[in-house]
Amino acid sequence: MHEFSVVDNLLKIIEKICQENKAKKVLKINLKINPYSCLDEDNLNFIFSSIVKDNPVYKDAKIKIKRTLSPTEREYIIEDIEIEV
Amino acid sequence: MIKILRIEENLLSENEKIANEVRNILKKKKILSLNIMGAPGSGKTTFIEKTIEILKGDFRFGVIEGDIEGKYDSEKLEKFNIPIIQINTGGACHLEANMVKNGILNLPLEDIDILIVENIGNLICPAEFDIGIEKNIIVSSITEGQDKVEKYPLMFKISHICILNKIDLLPYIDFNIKKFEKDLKKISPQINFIKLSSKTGENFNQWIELLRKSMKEKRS
Repeated sequence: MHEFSVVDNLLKIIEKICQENKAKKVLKINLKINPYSCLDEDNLNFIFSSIVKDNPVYKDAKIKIKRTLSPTEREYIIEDIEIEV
Repeated sequence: MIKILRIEENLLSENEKIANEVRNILKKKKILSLNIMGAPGSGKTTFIEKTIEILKGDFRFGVIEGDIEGKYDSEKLEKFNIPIIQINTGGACHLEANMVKNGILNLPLEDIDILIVENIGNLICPAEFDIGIEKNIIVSSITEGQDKVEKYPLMFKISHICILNKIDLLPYIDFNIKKFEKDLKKISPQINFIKLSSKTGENFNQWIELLRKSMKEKRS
């Protein structure tokens, strides 16, 4: 259940970006991870939407996971985010 | 208007930063640190117990015990009269770098040669988080079945040493060592693989020799 830690960190980072860019809505978040990582896209989206369900800026955002990092890189990289301004 | 913003930022950068702090502190003090990971019941604590029992006359140990609840493991090690910090994550399935940092800041590092961190019993989450400890060690046991490398590749990929424990039970269990070893060498060709029994002590000296060698390298 380390998806909680991931969502918590994710929100800290995108909150800052949304403020700087005056985002009305976040539509999509692309993550790049290790191909062997057990981080699960459905699970992550479920936890994310449970946490942000009352927040109009984040509540419709979808997280997309791409398993493109090297197998030894233990990082979860936010590649880009799509926002409505 | 829709905008796409390139970010390229590591979500775990805060954890990474603290892991580096832990690494630097331990490096400065010339402490050899071991991150013991494995499934619940793989024999991590017994493995640690046996290691300390054999080497307590030669090296000074310190232990950080990570568990969701309880102090069963740290009580098991109390007999050695060594500094032990028990961390209860209160539900979290893995240790993160900040927990380990708090742990080491509460240990008498000047009096420790080898720091053992026992991670939460889990083959998934502990593999995903760098905690700043030098050697990742996966303790797998034959009672878990030969499919563990195939099913939990990241754990075996990030580990430097793989201990296959409880080999004294081989006559009673259908465990295919060849399959386990084949999967292991495929995912992690450089890994140190030791088959042993913490209970009977069979092959345990191979692990002890490896640890002595690492200590020698550390001090040279």
